[in-house]
Amino acid sequence: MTASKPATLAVLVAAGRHPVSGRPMAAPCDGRALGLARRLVPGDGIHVLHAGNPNDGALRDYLGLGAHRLTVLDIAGDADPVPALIDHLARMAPALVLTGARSHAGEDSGMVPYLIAEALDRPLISSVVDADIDGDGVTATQALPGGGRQRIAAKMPAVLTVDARTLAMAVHASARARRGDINVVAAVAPRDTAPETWIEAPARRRQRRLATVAGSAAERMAMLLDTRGAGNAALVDLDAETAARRVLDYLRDEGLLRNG
Amino acid sequence: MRKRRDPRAERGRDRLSRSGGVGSATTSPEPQEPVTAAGDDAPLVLAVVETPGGRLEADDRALLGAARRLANNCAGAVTAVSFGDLVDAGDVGADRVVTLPSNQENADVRAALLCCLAEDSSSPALLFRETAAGGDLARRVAATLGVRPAIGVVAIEDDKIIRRADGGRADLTMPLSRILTIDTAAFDANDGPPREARLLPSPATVTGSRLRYLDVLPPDRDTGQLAEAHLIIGAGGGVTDFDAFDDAAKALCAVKGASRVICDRGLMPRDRQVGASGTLVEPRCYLAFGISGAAQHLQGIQRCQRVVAVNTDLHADMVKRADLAIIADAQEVMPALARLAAEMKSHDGK
Repeated sequence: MTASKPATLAVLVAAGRHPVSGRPMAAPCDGRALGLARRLVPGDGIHVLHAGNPNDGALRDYLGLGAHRLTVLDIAGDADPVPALIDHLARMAPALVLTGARSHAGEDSGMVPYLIAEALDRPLISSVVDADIDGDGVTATQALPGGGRQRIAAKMPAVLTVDARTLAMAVHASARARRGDINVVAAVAPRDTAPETWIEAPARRRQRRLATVAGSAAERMAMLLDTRGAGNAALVDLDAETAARRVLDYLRDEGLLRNG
Repeated sequence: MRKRRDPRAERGRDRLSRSGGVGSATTSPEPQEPVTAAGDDAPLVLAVVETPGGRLEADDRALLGAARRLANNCAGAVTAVSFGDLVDAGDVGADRVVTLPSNQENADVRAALLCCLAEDSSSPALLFRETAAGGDLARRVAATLGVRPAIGVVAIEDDKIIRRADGGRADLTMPLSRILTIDTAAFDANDGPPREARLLPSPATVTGSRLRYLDVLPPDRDTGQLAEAHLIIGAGGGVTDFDAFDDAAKALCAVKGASRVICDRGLMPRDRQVGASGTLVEPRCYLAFGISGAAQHLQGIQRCQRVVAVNTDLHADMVKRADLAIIADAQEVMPALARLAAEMKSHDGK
């Protein structure tokens, strides 16, 4: 691939479900993956790909979010979508495969991008919030816990999983969603037999482990009721320099001055 | 005033008999709890702990608790796997310890090392925390080994696990997998006797990463998400010099927050407000400058691990809440803090 020709990107999308009502909608992370792809290359270089039922109501949402072409690999509901996706991507050979970190629907294991990266022998960068294409390489920004960001570079072709914290959410337009075309491609997919042995039940609320709070029961109660009980020595009559030094020493002891 | 108790300092001591600390604990020597050892050929149940700041945290202990459940089923040995050195792993129930090199941060190399370890020891189970880093490693290893992992496990029964699926709307009961990621909030730490924590040799090093890790950017102090920040610096009515406040935030790589008063006055944007009507924050440390500590604000910082307060009023509620309270004018402390932190950074850089 030459630097002058814009790269081809594939965005894998899932049939998302609304977290409360369960109605079909674009999966939030996949919508962001599409938004990030639109930042990177012009719209006609983006191929949006879904494996499943072409009549799923969630797919129109992706057209509304700016997908120029949406290809659906038509496979049965109980089939494993991964081989069909791998087969299609191997022929298409996009420079980047982008997808949301989790679909938040169905099995919801987040394994699809990893299986594709493994099968196509591509590097994978997870929890991506931003990216830049530079020649035949990509520099991705990964979200770290605590709000920090790690920049990671890889040679293309590569696979990126997009985090919900990215700012690149595309804007939905109903006209685009109604106008767009869905290109259905027949695909063969083996049946996935493992889920037949699984038992699915509505999620039950489980007891969460409680944070262990220091002190006796009376002290913990006092902590909950008011501010006394957590108290510590207040330092009076320090000059500004000493006070600042005490604060810094405290932060360093807590290991919070490392990313300076 | 009472000093804050260091929970690590009194591990192994009877928590119920703390009557002034002069009772049985000092007069008679503490009976040493017997160390339980797993059999030499016990299969290794590998639990990959994450030790931010170099020590095991509550979620790591819960992960080892989940590993113990699995190890009891297969008469295995709980093996804590960490990138970097690990101390006190026996106290939290590790029979074996494997330390992998911490200088290798690349996720693909780490996953390859774990694959080697799992294959070499023919381990029956490999557990990760379902965090961004742990979940990423688990999926890489699962894809390489061709295992269908159990993601987000909330309960372990004899030969079955229960995991959340369908965006948290369903509980899926499925057979035990070799690779599991554990929702650690659903598990308890071990409460059994200490274990031997024998150090095992680590696998041969793997080289040849296809990822190049560049720089780490600290969170943006003006736009960083308050909810995910580890260090927040908050301004209250006692702050008038916002340039100095900004300098301090910059020098400490902290995300800026504010009390309602400051946001009402338009001195900081509304999305920076901490408290009941703003963001409920849970950083590792909250630095409160000139915040008196209204009940609604204290509610917002209820889940902070540490609070440092700088305030002129000795009797402010924030001062009582703080772990370190300094009675001084914020306008004087903030510039000194910015200068000292910048000095410290340039020293470390050399």
